[in-house]
Amino acid sequence: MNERASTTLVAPHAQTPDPKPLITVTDLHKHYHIGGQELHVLRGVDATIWNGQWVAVLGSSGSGKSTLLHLIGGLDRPDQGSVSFDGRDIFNLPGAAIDRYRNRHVGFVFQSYHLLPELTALENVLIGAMIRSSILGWSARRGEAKRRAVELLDRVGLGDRLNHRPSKLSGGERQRVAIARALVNQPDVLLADEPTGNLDEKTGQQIMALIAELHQQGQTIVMVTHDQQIAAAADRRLWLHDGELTESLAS
Amino acid sequence: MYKLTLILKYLRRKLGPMFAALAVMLCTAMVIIVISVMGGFLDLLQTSAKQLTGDVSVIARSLTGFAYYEELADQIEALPEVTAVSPVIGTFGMINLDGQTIGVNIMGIEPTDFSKIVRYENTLMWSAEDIYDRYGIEPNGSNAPTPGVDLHAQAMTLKPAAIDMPGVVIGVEVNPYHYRDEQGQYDFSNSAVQHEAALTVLPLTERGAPAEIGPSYLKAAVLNEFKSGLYDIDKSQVFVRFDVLQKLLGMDRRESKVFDPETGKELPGVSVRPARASEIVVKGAEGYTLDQVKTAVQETVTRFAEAHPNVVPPAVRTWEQRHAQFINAVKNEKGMVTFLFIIISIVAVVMVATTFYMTVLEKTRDIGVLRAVGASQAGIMGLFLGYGLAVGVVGSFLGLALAVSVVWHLNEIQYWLANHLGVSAHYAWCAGGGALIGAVVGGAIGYPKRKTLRFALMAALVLSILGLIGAWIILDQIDDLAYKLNHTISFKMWDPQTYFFDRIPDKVKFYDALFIGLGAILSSVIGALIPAIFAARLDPVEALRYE
Ligand SMILES: Nc1ncnc2c1ncn2[C@@H]1O[C@H](COP(=O)(O)OP(=O)(O)OP(=O)(O)O)[C@@H](O)[C@H]1O
Ligand SMILES: [Mg+2]
Repeated sequence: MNERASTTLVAPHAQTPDPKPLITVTDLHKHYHIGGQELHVLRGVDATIWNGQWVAVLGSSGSGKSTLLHLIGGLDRPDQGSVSFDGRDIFNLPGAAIDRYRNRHVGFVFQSYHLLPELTALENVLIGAMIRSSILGWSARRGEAKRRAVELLDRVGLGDRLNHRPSKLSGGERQRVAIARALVNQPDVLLADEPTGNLDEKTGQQIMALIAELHQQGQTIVMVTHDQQIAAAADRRLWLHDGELTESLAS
Repeated sequence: MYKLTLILKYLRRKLGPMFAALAVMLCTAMVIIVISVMGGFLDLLQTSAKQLTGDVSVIARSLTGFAYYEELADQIEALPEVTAVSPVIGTFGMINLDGQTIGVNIMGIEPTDFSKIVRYENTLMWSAEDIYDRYGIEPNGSNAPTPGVDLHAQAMTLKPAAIDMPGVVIGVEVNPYHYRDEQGQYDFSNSAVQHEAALTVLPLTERGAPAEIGPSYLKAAVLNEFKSGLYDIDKSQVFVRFDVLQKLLGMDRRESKVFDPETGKELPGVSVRPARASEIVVKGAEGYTLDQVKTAVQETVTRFAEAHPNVVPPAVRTWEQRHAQFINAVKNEKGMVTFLFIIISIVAVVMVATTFYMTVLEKTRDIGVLRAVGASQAGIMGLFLGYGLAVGVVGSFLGLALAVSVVWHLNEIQYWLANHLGVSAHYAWCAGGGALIGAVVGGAIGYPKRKTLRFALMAALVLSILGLIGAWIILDQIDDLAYKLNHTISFKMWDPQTYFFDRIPDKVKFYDALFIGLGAILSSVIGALIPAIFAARLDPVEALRYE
């Protein structure tokens, strides 16, 4: 995007040259019951996501891509199976550790941005950092967090829109704010659920360029899409079909 | 940290919970106003009652009084628990004022001592200066008090300065010519000051039978009138000097010659009948509880009774015991107010709960987002509880401010409602009617063009101003219209002619306000509790999908 983009924007250890498994998904199952019918969305999904990789998850609508992404991010709970982060099963962590996992190690980007309407762009980006610290801790960390948030917004091209509220931003701009928000705590992995789904083609391409750039800087990315063209830029493409995940051989 | 940020944002940006704050404000204000006014009344009653009797009284069990009261009074006064005592004689009698006779309680007091224990001096209604400047009475006019005479000083000695006659101070309602005007004020021109009053009492023998000499009469000059604030007292009590009443009732010390019952010959020596009083009023010393004072006085009375086996020992009563009805009324009212407070608190809880439930529904997706960014369940719960707390704090502060400004200006508000509502309503009707006609006509003319609304608004504005001008012209032309309007359209929430206190109590007690304010804040937090739990337990994925 621009030259002064600093490499500190992504987590430092994501840049280590030799990849190691960051997240391991083992035998993941998830069903839903609707009106007496059982819908088996995930039927034993296995996957390994390596540090620094950009993984695209493909599949038709309703195949369970979002469900899988939510499970990887610790937002949802599986009926069976595990998601290991750094060698530990995130669903077996004590107390509120899973919330901490989402806060520090994961960054979510959603199709419909999901910004908080009352907050400005800057505050939306800062929210993850605020959740991270207590009221007392905040006064000490505030300056640094704010600097980083401004830097991120600058980086996604919104340096002059810091105090605009989401209703005053276009869809593409909102998605950039959402990406900046996801990155504020330097997450190990960015989980993007059809980040260009609500955008026109041109804006979608800009967002994809931004994601590609993040990947170049070493950010691990898991991106859900049903658009093969978009998926083409990723390192790996995984197909979700009939509740199972298969590596696509065609590249 | 995000909780504080979001709460502050929501407080400024969200309307819904502001309605909850408004509800909390109104509840708080209502309870504080009711408690202040009602509590103010009860306090007035209670203090009046207390100040009319002194802390503790030693009371004769019979109208004939008890002997050796000076000795007992001295002993009681010597107690460390007691600062002042004063003997009193009370009896029933009649007073004739300007040809009207009514039954009264006649109290014989020593005004200076009595006033140290019982509120007497402050209840006196008239002073010469007062009368001159409040009623614009000519110093030499027919109703003027004798020039140069200090009514206050006279009442404090119960001796007229100029005439050789005992003085009497009567309760303001004893005077049959007094009435209160619309502001609840008495007019000096109807007062009995400087008039002659005739008192009739019935002396009793020591055994309580009517004395052979029959009723005694006393001509006295009315020196002043008093208003204690308790209607029953003001309607039925008059004060004369202790020694005057004592003599009149034959309760003073009498020496008589002694005769041999058989021979009828005079014997040497004299027989002494000691003087009697019917009550000793006692003021307790600072630092002692009422019970301690009472106990000390009771012990003294018991010792006194042992030393004087012939004297029926008088009873010892605290002011609370003497005014048990008032005290109980106060307690009942307090219970009522507490009940009201509980009901209103529940109302506040429900109000806050419903608005917060709506807010949580409205914010469901945001809750999902917060969870996705790492907020815990406890965090979400804390967010909404904190929001409830903030709404409670805002509501209760606003309510407090509203209540204080209303209570402090209650008398003005009441005065305005009672005296200007009619004319104001007239203006409002004219302006409102003009606006309505203007809106309809303007709308009709403008219809169906796109500017209908603006047209209607303009016409409404113009006609409402015309209405105001019209109203003003009408009021200006017809002389008593304003008076009649105000008279027919008025709201008297407080009629000083029926209530005995002439002002609505207008003090807010700090601890009442504090307690109610905290109660309101607590109610808001409780109201927010269930929505907060609901919000915390939302499934984040469902919440994100929520439309
Ligand atoms: N809470 C739920 N209750 C019942 N069924 C659900 C629930 N959540 C998801 N599903 C079902 O699970 C299936 C997978 O949903 P999911 O959102 O993961 O699909 P997706 O692959 O992301 O689809 P899309 O590409 O349209 O976003 C769908 O058929 C959906 O109807
Ligand atoms: Mg989806």
